[in-house]
Amino acid sequence: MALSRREALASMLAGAFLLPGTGCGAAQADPSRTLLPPTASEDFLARCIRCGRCAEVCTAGCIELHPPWAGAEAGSPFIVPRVAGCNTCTMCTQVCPSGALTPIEPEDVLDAVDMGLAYVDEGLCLSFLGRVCGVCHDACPFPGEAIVLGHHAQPQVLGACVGCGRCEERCPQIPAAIRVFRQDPGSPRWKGPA
Amino acid sequence: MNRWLRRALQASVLLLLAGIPALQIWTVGVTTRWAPEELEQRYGPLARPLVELCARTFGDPPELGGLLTGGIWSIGLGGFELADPIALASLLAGLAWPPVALLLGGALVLLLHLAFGRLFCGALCPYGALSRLVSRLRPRFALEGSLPRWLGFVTLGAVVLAPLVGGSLVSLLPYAAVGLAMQGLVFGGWLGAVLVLGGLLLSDLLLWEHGVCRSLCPSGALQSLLGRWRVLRLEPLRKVGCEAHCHLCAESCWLGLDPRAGAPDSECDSCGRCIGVCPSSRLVLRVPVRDLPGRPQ
Repeated sequence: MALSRREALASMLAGAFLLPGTGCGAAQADPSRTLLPPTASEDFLARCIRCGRCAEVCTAGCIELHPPWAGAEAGSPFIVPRVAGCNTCTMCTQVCPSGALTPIEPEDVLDAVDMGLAYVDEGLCLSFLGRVCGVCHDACPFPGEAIVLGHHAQPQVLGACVGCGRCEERCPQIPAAIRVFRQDPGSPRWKGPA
Repeated sequence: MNRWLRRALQASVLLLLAGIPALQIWTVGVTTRWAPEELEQRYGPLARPLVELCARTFGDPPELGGLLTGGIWSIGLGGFELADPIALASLLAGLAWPPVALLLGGALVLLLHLAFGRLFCGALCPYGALSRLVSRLRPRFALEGSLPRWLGFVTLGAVVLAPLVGGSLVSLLPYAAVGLAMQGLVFGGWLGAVLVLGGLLLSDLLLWEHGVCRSLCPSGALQSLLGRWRVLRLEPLRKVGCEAHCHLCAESCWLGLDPRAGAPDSECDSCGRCIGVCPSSRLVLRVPVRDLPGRPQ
């Protein structure tokens, strides 16, 4: 028989009390190799409704979804720049229904996107080791604005870098000599200004 | 509802859920001009044949690429948004104010739940369709019995309030899992959704028949809560009696209700199976009119 409103409400409250036991709020052990899609809001995990539409329309194929056992991040999107960087097409921001991503046009990317900042490891970068590379500069969607090449094509990242991660994806060195870090000081990826 | 109408609706929802990821990968595949090997490397084995098939059969993708996205949980139909009210509620529970389009889309579905109760479950829900299929394959040693109905409200409370502990349980919802599994098969990362969907279907197959729909689904619980005020109702006609020992209607009900005992409560999804089997045509689906003033009882 149908439950009374009171019984239904009590059951829902019981569900709330069981929540901690599901582990769905658990922070992931090491989110350090991931970025969030462009224009992610401050309270991204609370705003994201896990519909996966950003991953569907991503023309770079870089947005993946966390599996159901990923604790608090389950179902939410992430980018591993070494696997595939963002090409700043802004499609994901335009389909996001919940406001977790703010809709922008491709021409707004330089101003509006801040997924992270690229750092060059001069001990690994081929151009700093006496060879002339410059692949990161070629991969950058904003060459000359976000990254410039100096002597022997030695890269220098400028403040305009949006953190798309294409340089990290294309870097021929193993491990990558240029890597993108989230600019959130609370994030484990943040290693401080270079 | 006619059996064939119901099946046509269920099939078109399943087709839509499979078609959306196919349309997206076709759009991505054609616009990026990647080598087929790169498509396969980025998305997995299904993406490449799908893009090649679509491109060969239909040519270039229509301008729909960004206009038809999502699934049952949240869907965008050419700039028009529809969303599960549970998605909306969980967003509000996390103290995040939703954009107007999502608010309207969620409110519209909420109104439909209020007007028609659980009609969605039997006619449109993709998991409901799969669950019906699975129930035909139940082996003889499958468990008899059922789960208590209040479990659905426990899961409803957990899903809606999950943002309070900073997480989300959406990946575990049966109807969302169907879309996520199809999306995952095309775009990669299918394992989680397929495991969830497989586990739920397996419990329907070997443990409680339709247990997910009857007792576990939070949306089913919400819809039966809102369905108290539904317009369209199944009713046994008073002037016609039941035949002796006949219980065909109760046998036919996939949600385990018994229309012989009187008009079923809001757990009824108005699917009309019982109407089809009733030998004395005693059951009707109608807008109840007996409470109108001036009408003789």
